[in-house]
This record gives sequence, C-alpha cells and structure tokens, in this order.
Amino acid sequence: MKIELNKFGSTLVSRDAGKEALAAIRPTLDNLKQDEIIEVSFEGVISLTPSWASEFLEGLIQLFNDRVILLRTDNPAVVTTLEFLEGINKRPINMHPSRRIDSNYIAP
Amino acid sequence: MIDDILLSISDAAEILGVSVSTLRRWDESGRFRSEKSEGGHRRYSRNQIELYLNDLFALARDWAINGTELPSNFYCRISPTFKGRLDTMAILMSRNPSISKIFNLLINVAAEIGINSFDHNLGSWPDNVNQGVFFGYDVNKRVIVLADRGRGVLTTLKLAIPTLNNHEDALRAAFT
Repeated sequence: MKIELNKFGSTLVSRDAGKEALAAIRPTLDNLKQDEIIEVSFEGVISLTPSWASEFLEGLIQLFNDRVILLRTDNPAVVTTLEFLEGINKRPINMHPSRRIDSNYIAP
Repeated sequence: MIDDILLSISDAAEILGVSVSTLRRWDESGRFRSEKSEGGHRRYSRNQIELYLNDLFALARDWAINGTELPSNFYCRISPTFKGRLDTMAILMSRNPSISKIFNLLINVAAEIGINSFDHNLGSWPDNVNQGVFFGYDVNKRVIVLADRGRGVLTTLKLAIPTLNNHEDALRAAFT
C-alpha cells in the first residue's frame, strides 16, 4: 500500500491535523494483508512540521514497525523534520536500505 | 507628494483592515494622523498607508506589547486562519526563483512557530480579546513576522523543562 501524504494537503502542520490524518487512514490500514508493506510518499508535500510528523508518521510506525517504508525525497523540510525526530527519539526512522532518505541535503 | 492620492476615512479603514472609529482614535492620539479637507473631513494619503502597512515589525511589536488593534489581514485569531495564510505564503514563495531551494524550510519554520502559539496557549490565552497570532510577511523583502500575546515561551517550556529560570534561557532552548 502506498500512502501519498499530499492527499492530506501540501503544508502538513499541527499535531491535531496529524492525529486526524492517522485516524482517517486507520480503516484502510486495518484491512491490509498480513506483512503488507506500507510505503509513504512525500511527493507534492511543501512542508512537513515535526508536530504533524510526530503524530502521523511515528503513530504509523508504532502500529506497523518495519512494514513502514519512507520513500526517497530531497525536500529539505521533510529531511530536516525526519532527522529532528530521529534525534529526539534517539533511534532511526525505519527505512528500507534501498530507499534511504537523502539525509545529506545541504541548503545552498 | 503631488500625485499622492488622498483617501476618505472609510476607504483608508478598509485598506488598513480596521474600523473607522479606530482611525478616529488613532488620529486623536497622534498614532496615525490624518489631513483635513476643506470641509474638515479626515483624509489619508496612500503613501502614508503603505508605509504603515510595510513596517511589519513595528505593527507586530505594538500589538504584542500594547494590544493595539491590528490590520485584519495580519491577524489570525484561530489556527485555520493561520493555516490559510500560510498556504498563501507558500504559493507566493514557490513562484520566487531566488528562494526556490529553501522555501520549503521557510514554510516549515513559520508553520511550526505559528502553530505552537496556538497549541501552547490553548485554553490559557491571557488576553481573550487578542487570542491568536500576528502573521505578516513580505516575500520581496525576505521578512516573516510572527507574534502572539500568549503566556510566553518561558511559562510554556518550563512545563517540560522545569530547570529553565529566565526568558533568555527559554528562548535559547526553544529556538536553538
């Protein structure tokens, strides 16, 4: 299954909105096959704040652990937010080895 | 200026996003003076209005410290209003090639700071009349201004970091 985050909007902001997004998608997730992979796409997302990501992505990973794969992006807002969450939680966000986020993004 | 247009008080109030009575008060207090027409009516120059609106820091500071009435287009009383204005800023920034590589980060920072004003003061705004945030920006001048009349960073962060003792330490913890 692929979750396209831009379906929740292009500016993903606030804890409440992240919680609501996860709640909205739960019925679909509950019908997944056992061991089915969940890919998360950041295509079309302009901004992803730590608050929103903490509620949605961490919530998703808590439910489905290694089945969640974050697809590659070079959006600096997404990269920065995910690195920030990794730093806060002191553990890497799970990514398939062949689909790592480009964490070496450097702004000009 | 010879070719500067003089506007009526109602037109000026509409552009500024404040009430006519507010403009009358501001004139009497000296905060925003009018000229008088031959008939004694208040008149405002377009230049004067533009100068006033362009000084975002002054507007925000005056509101944050004194609670002075804000032009309505800068005031986001509730978070959906802030979100809508943020989306507009995102569209404008996305069209500016000189910031195309970092505009995502700029939106992220403005979003997180602005929404935190609402989240950290929910149900606890010290000033009910002036809940919400001031949100002004000028893409060409590369300026984004956010302000609130909330409980302050020290009060809210102390809940998570009880060892914080002063405003400087709180701001450092929040923004660095």
